[in-house]
Amino acid sequence: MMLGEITLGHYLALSTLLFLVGLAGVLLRRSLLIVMMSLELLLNAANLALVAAARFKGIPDPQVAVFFVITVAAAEVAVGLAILVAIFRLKKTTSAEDFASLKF
Amino acid sequence: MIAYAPYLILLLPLLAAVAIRLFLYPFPRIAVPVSVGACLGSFLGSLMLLNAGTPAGGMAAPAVPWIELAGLKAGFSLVADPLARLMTTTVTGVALLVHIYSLGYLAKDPCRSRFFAELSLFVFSMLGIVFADNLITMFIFWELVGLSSYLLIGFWHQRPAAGAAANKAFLVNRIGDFGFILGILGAWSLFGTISFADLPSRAASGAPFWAATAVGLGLLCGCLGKSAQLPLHVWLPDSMEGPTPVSSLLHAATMVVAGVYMLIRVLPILELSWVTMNTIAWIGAVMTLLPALIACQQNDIKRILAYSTLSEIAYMVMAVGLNIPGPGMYHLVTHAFFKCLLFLAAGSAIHGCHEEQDIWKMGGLRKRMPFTFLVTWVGTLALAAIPPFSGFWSKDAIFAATYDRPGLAACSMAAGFFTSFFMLRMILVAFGGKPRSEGATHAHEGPPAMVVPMLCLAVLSVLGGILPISDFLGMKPDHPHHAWTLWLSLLLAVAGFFPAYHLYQGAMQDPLRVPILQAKFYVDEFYQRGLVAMQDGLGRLADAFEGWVVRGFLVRGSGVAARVAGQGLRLVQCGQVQLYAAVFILGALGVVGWLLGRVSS
Amino acid sequence: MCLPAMLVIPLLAVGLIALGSRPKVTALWASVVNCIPGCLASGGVLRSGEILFGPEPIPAREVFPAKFILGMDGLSLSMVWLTLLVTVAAIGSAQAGIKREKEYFICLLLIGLGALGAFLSVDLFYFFTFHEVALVPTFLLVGIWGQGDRAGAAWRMTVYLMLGSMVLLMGLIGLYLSLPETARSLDWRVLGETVRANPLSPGTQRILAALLLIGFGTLVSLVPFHSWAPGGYASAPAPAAMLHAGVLKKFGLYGLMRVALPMTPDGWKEIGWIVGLLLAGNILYLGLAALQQRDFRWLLGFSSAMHMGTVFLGLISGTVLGLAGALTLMVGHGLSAALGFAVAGEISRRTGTSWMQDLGGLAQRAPKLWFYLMVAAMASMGLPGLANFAGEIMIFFGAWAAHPGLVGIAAWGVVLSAVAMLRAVRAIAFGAMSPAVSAEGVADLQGIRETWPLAALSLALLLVGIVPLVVYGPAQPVLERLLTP
Repeated sequence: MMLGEITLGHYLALSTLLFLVGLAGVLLRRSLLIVMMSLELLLNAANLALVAAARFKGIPDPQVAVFFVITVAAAEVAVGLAILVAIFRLKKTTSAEDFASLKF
Repeated sequence: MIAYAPYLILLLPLLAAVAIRLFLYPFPRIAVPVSVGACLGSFLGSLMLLNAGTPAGGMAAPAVPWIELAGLKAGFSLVADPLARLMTTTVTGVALLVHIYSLGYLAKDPCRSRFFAELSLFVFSMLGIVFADNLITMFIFWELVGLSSYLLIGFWHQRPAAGAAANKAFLVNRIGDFGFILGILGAWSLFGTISFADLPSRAASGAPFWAATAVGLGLLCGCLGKSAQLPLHVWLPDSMEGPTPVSSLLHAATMVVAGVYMLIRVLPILELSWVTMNTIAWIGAVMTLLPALIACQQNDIKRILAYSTLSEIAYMVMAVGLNIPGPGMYHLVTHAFFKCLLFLAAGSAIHGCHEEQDIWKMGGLRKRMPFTFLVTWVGTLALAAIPPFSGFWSKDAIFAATYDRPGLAACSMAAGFFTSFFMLRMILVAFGGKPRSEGATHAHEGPPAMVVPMLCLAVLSVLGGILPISDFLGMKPDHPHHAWTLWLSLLLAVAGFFPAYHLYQGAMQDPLRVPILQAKFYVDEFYQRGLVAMQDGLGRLADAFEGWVVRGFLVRGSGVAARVAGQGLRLVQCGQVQLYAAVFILGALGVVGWLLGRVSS
Repeated sequence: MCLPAMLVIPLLAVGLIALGSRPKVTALWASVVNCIPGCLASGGVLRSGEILFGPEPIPAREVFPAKFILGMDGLSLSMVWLTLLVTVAAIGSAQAGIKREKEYFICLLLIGLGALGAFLSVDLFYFFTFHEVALVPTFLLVGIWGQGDRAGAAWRMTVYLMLGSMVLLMGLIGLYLSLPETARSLDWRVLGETVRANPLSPGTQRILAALLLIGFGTLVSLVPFHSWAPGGYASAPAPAAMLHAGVLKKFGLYGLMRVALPMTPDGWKEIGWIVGLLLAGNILYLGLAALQQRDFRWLLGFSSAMHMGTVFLGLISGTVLGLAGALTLMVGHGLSAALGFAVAGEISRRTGTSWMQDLGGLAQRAPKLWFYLMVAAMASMGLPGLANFAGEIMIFFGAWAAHPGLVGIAAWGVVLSAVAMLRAVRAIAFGAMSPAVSAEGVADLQGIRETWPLAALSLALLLVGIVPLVVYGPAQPVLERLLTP
């Protein structure tokens, strides 16, 4: 059943939606683990937009960017989770509210 | 060779002062003769200068430039015209006698080296005023004389009253100098010169009336300060805190007449304005009378003489105001003789009574100190202008010029009456009757060093009338001579003796009590409560403003403001990462939106 | 060669002290030895008008336009000698066994170095920088070795002066940028010629003159930017106060003479009435406030700030006579302020207090110290024979034509300063001895060793007072050139 063509706009809308969900997660969730997952969501929303642009515009450059983003995301996750584990060992909590010692 | 005489006369005392200050303080036996010797040298030089005849215009010694820059040529050039020669002879002569007197008076003072150094400094400064050939040089030495006076009044610095008196003298003089320097600046801009040689010709070419008046009044201010005339006279009675030789030399014979000397030098400017001349004449006239009245109720022997000095200087000032500088100088010279004599005699009495200065605590000195008694009488008769003493001739010359000015004549002749009154009062109380204190009972004459100068001055006070001073100066007055001035003034002067005799012969305490005179017309109180309080009040206001508003509110306040702002702003650092992220996103959105806005427009 | 030597010798001394040589002796020797290149340089200046060291000025565009050029002419001659003399006297009167002695003398040497560098610079950038070099050690000296509220005074003084320097920098950069691009340079000889060839627009001149006035004026304690001075000097140790009041204050006036007068002449004339108002404030307001001070150092600080007003009068007089007087008064004030603070330091060191009501009768206990107190007081009051009077009289005559009212105010200021100083002398020296003065350890100045700095300053005051030609003579051609557009 055809509901009309899937255009770039649809993909970008989905990407934006995912981005907003990720943003909400980063800003609003308490658990740092969830924040990290939301960060991944942000990055992947960007990936989606890039791939859709590459597919619909027929240019290979966004795909190169996607590779960069995936690599950086992987590295960032590894390092971030390691920091998270270290923090947890020290503070016995991963709630974002508990890490405010760099305040005035 | 003779052209360098002024420099020699001027610099000898300076060399003595410097030598004593640098090397001879611990050796009074060397220091004192050095100082006396320098004064002697200057006196001999002055005599030589007096006798060296030259054309009436005078001669000027070669100049030493001080400041020579666009428009201003101020240098140390010394002039030796007849006026200067007369003045320097008088100054060095009287100074020499006072030096010798001080040998006896301060023989036991541990700080006498310092005294003689300061005395030599004074002689140097005074001679600088005498020899100065332009207003700036005169001003320089004017201030140096003020310094010497300050040092000498405060010589016994352990006494608190001495410090106060020294300060008062210097500051009142400074106020006079304020007017003086403005007068000098005015004269420079009005006449284009400050040299006394050029002044007569420049002034003769005329100047705007009120400008010349202002300049004249400014220059007058300097005289009022230095010569202690109304309203700047308050320092002279206080200056009696200094040792008596100081009072006799500075504050009777030489320093205080520097103002009169200066006025005579700038007479060409003063003559341009009848306002100035009248002001001078009237200040002179009033000041002959007021201090004479005050002196009638004073009990300190030196204060009596101080007020008498104020009165006598006023005669000289009045003479300038009447445009008869010749008689003015005549009185200056004779006054130097008899006033210095009177002060030395008073010093002798004080010394004899073991530092007692209150005349009511003296008494009976006639028998115990007959020589002092005699010379005091000589001085008094000269002061009261009784013929044939010197004071008569000089004062009469001044009275003669008041023939058509009844107000001036009335004031000055009445002053003569009161002068006789208070002088006889002083003699009767201090020398007559019985001794009224321990010191007076054991009074004795001073050493020869004190007696000889008094003798010299007594002779001069008697014979000084024959000196042809007005002729020598070429300043003979040219007004008609009326006999009534002579007889009226003489009558009043002699009449003054009678009430004094009646009241004070054999008195043990003062039968007269006139509070306003005892309080010196409340002038000191007016200055203290009025002007000084106002200045201090303004100072307090300025200091409070400085402390509270400027330092407190503005400076510390801005520091506090910076700190408070910082404390406010640091609340942004909440430590919450997610808040930071939110702010970041908002900012990013803002930038993107702005960019999109720019792209679309 | 002698110009950079004057800067290198203090640096060498700093190095030697850091390496461990005896601080006071090293510093003193270095300052005295520094006078030798000073003499050589003076000879050069008197012979040929000015001497230079450094590359030739090239008015071309460069990445960093500042060039390290040193130069001395008749105007900076007096300033350099003032610095040399006051540095020698300050180090001479500094106490040797003080805590952290090395750092103390290093700071003193650096202040001298900064001042010398500033007066010898021909390039505006280095002119400014050397002054900042001199400011930092002042901060340390006041904050660490001072007395009273020393930390607060150090902070206030330094931040205030830095703010003034900032405004000054804006003015200098503004001056640089307002020149046509091809002719921009920081070398003030080039600047002078450029501005002479094509003068700046009146509006620019006004703004620049105002900025320079505020900037330099703060450094000179011109009302209303003056309140750092009295507190700062009162809290500073005596040598630091001597150097700052004696030398560093003159930097601002020198800068005005070098930069503002020739390069913004019309602007300077236009704001002349503002300067007049402010200098009247200096003289009257600060003079009156000085009367109420109870601490001798505070009084000296106020009095020193007050005299700056008279110097400004010379600067706005518009005549060579007035400028020459300003220069002479700068030298005289530097020497007399240094002498005053040195005496104050000696008094407070011996009796433990500067509070005038607690002192009294010093003349009996310490007559030599009293003598120098009198010299300082008389110089400050403008007694003829000492340098301040020579400067003041030239300023009065120079400014009379243009600003007679201000001259009257300045003349009254002379009376006010006499009142303040005489009251202080009376409180400190006359009368009976107070407990603080008659106490055990109060001794007079002993021998040459303790009197020579004071004597040196007094002799210099006397010399300049009797022969002011030594100050204004070499500077006369420079001053004339400053005034001709």
